Amino acid sequence: MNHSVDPELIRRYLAGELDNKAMHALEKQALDDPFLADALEGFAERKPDQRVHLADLNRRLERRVQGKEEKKGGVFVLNYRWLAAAGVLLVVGTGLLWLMQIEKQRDHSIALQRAMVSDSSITDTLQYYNREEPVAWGKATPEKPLAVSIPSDTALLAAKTARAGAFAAAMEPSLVNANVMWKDDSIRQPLAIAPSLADSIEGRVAAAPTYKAMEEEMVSRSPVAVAPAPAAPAMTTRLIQGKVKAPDNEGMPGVTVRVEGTDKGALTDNQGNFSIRVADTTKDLKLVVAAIGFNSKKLDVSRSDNNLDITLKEQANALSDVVVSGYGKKSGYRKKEGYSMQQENVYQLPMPVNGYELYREYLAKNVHYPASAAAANITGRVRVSVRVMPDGTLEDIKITRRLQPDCDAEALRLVREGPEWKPASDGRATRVQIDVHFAPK
Amino acid sequence: MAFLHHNIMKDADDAELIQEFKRSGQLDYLAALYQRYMNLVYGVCLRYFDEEASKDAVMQIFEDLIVKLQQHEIQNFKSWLHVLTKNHCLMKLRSMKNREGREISLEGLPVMENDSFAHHENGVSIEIHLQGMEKCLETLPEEQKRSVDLFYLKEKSYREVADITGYDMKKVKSYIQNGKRNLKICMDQQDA
Repeated sequence: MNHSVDPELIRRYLAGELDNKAMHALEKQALDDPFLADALEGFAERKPDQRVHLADLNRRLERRVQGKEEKKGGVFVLNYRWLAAAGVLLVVGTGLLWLMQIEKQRDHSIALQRAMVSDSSITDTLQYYNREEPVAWGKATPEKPLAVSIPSDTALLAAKTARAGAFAAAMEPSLVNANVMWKDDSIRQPLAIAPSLADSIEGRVAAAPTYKAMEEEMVSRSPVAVAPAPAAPAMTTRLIQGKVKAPDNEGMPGVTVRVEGTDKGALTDNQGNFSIRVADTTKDLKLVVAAIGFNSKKLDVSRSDNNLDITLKEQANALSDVVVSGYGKKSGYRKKEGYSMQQENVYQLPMPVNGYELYREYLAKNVHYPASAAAANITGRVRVSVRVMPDGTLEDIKITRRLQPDCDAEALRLVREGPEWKPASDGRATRVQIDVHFAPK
Repeated sequence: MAFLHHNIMKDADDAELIQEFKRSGQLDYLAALYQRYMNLVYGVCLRYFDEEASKDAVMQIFEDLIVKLQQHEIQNFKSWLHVLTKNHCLMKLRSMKNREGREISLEGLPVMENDSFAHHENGVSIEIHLQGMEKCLETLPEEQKRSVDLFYLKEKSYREVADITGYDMKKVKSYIQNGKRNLKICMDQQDA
């Protein structure tokens, strides 16, 4: 009773493995099923074998249903390796605290603040670890699994970055050292110092947001061996966090933030927040922030500047080369000279006040297919050219491509009565062209 | 997948699963339903994003579903999902795009095409009427006529049609699509 299409069939179709009859059957189905036709086109642009990705999706869906993935506030079961990792963190943290107390360099309140703004993307690290075994931590293995509730989201890139950082940490000689101390069990002390400890090492060790939760668990269960590590060299990474905003001050999700010259980067989360971990020693650190429809931005980040507020400007030419059309299917996304323009260019062509999308919708909804055209079986498009004045009014509406008198008149009417336009950014009268499609409904 | 092993979920039709999901709030039902079309959703996303971003989109659309299904009465889930998918991709395109990313294809987009809904309901099948349609077939341009004839009546695949006629594959596809549409117009006029 359902209308699903076997992914395997699609794969074989695109790979050319089907016989003619089966091909015909699928093609016919696609003609009656726009969803399938759409999907086929998407697949056709890729390599035919998408099985890995589809399998991955199935896994993700399954995990999601079990409440383990991509759910805000989801519950996530920690396995014993995690406890081990937490132990290592504690040990390292203690070491660092000790270091800091001696050096009395670090302002405690700053560390605290950082812990509070720390990005949830890092918690994704945990999920990754859960699937892959941490390298160096296997040996210190307390028995009891812990349940920890974490917020999570899908900033995978950030998670990967954080993960890389954490692995680097695992390789750090001082850590291995600390690990030994842990096993050694030589110095036992209650965890009363832990809260400040947790805060103070945040910013240096990945997976910190969950740290507190773990730590509370541990305290409640048993005293844990903590060894003040020897004067280990401090881990030299820093966490850069920030928020990417559109000019209207809204956080922008899904924006790429990259460290220039590296493959490190992050995607912003739903609120536009991101975090990236970089080596503390990185000189001339530059971030490149990019989102479609916006001018990408390159920023110098000074060593003390770990909290960034980035506002992107809307890009001038992002949509400038679109020929608006009223009928979606065959309508044009047409290149004019605009597309190859430099990113730096901030000139903005006139556009409908509410954007092209709504404009197109307006055209599609309101277009009347004239009876005379229907009778003569005429389909096609009329191109209307119009001058958008500096005040947004439309002047000199004319037709540059005719179809049939009634269609032409209808196209003129649609544009004349249509939504308002925003003038070009340079304040000059500028011509735009609009395609109106005519096809029987 | 464990949650798919229930026969109910395999055999139930879309509407039943939606109903069960709404009643119980259990994601299993929704997932079983979503899984039927997940490859299509993914395929549509591939038109706009690369593989990784598409997968993320697929998962986000699932999240959307959880909310939206509770709010709306859905008659034809598949068509609705199609529109939802396209809208989601569009919205996302507006706010993001990897820099070196592919050109944004606005084609075939936001407008709910006149025929996209109609198709499911009355795309029942065109060939029921085909017999009474030969007259209409004659009115088609030559390329469309040949392509439609080979495809619908002789049941040849696009590739075969292209081989037989010597037309380009892409052309064949559009000849058939347009031919089909024109036939339908012609037919409707006959009926009227």
